[in-house]
Amino acid sequence: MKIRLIALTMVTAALALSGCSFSDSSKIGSDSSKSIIDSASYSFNSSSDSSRTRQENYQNDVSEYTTEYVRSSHGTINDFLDHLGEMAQNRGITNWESDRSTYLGIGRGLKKANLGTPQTSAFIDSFSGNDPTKKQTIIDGFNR
Amino acid sequence: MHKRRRQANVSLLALTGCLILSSPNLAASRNFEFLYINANEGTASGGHTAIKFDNEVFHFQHVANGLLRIYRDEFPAFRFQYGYQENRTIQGHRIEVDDTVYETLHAAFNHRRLIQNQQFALLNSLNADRRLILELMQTGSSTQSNVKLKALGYFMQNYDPATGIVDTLQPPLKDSFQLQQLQQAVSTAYGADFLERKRQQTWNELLSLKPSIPDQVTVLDTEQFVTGSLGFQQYYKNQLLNLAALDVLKASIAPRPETLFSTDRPEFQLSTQAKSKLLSYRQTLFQDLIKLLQSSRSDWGYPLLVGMARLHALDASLESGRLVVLDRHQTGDGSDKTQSVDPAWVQAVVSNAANSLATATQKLLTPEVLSEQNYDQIETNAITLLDILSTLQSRKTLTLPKISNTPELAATAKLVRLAVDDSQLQHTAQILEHQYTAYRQQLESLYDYQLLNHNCVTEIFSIINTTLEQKHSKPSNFEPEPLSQLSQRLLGGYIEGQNLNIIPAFAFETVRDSYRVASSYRLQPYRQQQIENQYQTGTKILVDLQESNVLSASSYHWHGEDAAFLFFTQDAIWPRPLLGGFNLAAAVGQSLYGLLALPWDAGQNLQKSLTGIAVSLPELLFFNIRKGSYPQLIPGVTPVSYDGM
Repeated sequence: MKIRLIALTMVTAALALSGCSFSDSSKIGSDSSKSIIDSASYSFNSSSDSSRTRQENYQNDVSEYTTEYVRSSHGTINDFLDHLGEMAQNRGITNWESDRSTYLGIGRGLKKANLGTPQTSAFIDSFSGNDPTKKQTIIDGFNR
Repeated sequence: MHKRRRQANVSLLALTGCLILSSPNLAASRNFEFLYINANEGTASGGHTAIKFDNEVFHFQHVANGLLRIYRDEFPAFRFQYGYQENRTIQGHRIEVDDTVYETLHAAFNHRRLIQNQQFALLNSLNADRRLILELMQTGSSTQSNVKLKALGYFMQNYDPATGIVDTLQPPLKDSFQLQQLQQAVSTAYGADFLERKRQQTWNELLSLKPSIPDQVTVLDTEQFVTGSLGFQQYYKNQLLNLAALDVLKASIAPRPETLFSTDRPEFQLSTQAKSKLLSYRQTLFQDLIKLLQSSRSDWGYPLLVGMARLHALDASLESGRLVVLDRHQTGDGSDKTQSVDPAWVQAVVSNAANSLATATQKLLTPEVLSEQNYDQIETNAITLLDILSTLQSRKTLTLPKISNTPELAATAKLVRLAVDDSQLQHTAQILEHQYTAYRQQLESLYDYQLLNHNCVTEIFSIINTTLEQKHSKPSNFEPEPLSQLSQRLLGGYIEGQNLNIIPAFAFETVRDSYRVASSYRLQPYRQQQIENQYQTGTKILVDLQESNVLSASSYHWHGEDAAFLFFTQDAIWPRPLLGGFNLAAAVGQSLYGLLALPWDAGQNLQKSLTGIAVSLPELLFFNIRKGSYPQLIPGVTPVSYDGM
């Protein structure tokens, strides 16, 4: 019992010093502009071996974001697209409109949102701007 | 009985365990993992916890202003920071769950992350809007503010949107054949006066912008995802960028030569096949730039500027047969913290950078279509290698280059006064100030870090329990299924983020005792791995003696980020109080030095020494926090083992 009490006191003292992990401004998560560690971003972000993964990561980002957007009742399609641009830049893409992964990701996100057919079709039309190539790519993403 | 079990659990935690527990038949089961990262001096002397789904790790970090934010990281990066740079042991329990439970839990952590990111982005946006409005009120005065426009810096350093191009501070700009070609193509596609009309339209849109005020401060919660509009400041900057891109194109300005980089080194030589691939990419890019001028996105000027600069880099590469790339050094908001490279690793850093570039340029030799991400990797790896080589040539201490996510070299642009009078701007700024404060207070109250009931552990259990309740509850007789029963059914047990479970180490034990743990593991920290390696060639006792203290250890060299200490106490339990006494003396010594050094080190040594005292005192009572850290380790360069993870 004594040992446990001592351990508890010490752990509490340790917690009091600083509980959980503290992140200073130079150690920010990868959701921000840089990876978890600045130095690590030098390698983890730039390693070319992970090129396939980077593409998949971008598609996942778009897919997750699309799911959230279509499930929520907030925001216009332009708001959605504006934020998509920020997300693409975090993955090294400036011209996301010309990137096939964008539309595959949107398709995957729509699938995950599990909406009714009319709603899904309406979103596909909006996201593609009625461009047949983009529309088909969204459908490809949806059917994957 | 309970006490004995708890003690046994504590000792078992130190071992790599493989606990196969009986589990019910799960149709399609998967494992998610609960991670415990032990304590160390500095960022988390109370330990840390995280939750892992495949390669993604979610964890709550205590950030500035006393907030608790959720982050998602890829496991290798997470492992490198905590297990290597911070030298902390990572332990994990693999929890077996049904496939659908796995998916809903994963989605729930992601959901929280996306919501929080949006909410913090809105806070920053409110602040940026308010600041821009105050700056706009200064336009025309002698204290007029400027704004930085990313990617415009490839073409010019200063820009005046009202007059079209530049002020007199910079050297004459060179004509660009490539942009003349692009202009011609744009005229063919959209009409001869298209660019003129587009500029007028963009200028009018800019002038008609009005700072909008949300009706009321958004009421925040942790469940509702809101896609907000971009802020006024962002729209304003986008319009300036659009104008700038049009002006660069209209005037056919070539990039400034100092923004393009190359070298004669073999890594930069391009084969015929590689050139052909780059040519094909150039043609695609050219067509994309034409399309961008008709894009409905609000920031089309940015990719247009980047693309126009890249056109020149590509042509220079094709002409010279050597890779020529844009300057990708990070500017602006990035951290100014740099990491010096240990001289012993310089060659490894160069090799790693060269290998990374070689791997990236392999994409030029495959039939696959080159994407912007592929080209981005070539660009960033090339600039990294060039930067390292140039630092070595100048015989300066090598620091790791900071590379931007996308090309962002900025130019300074004058602000354009809008058709809004000062009193209106003043009024808007006041309202925004009020809304910013109210919104920040809401965020602080929602995500307030509290040591005992709102920390990295409690949030994990809270999300798990809420998700099970919302997504998997099976009511019977119109009564909701009790959470404890539900959790028992789906996870094998129920845990609340209360009592001892608020402490990472105890929470880790509780997870093992309560949830359906399929197996467990322990990942050795960096120093331990180094010592194990030394056992292969040396006598164990001699290695232990040598590595027991800072003075003779070969696996650790003291650096300023750790408080001064003498002995590593994590390996020795019984001598711990004695060794802790020496460590305490070293910390007190640093305090005295810190007092003397106060006038010139801004109290850094004194602050470190206080941390040193705080982590040495527990050692007197057999408790270890300090492990020593290795912030100088570099991923991809430092030899690391991922233990098959």
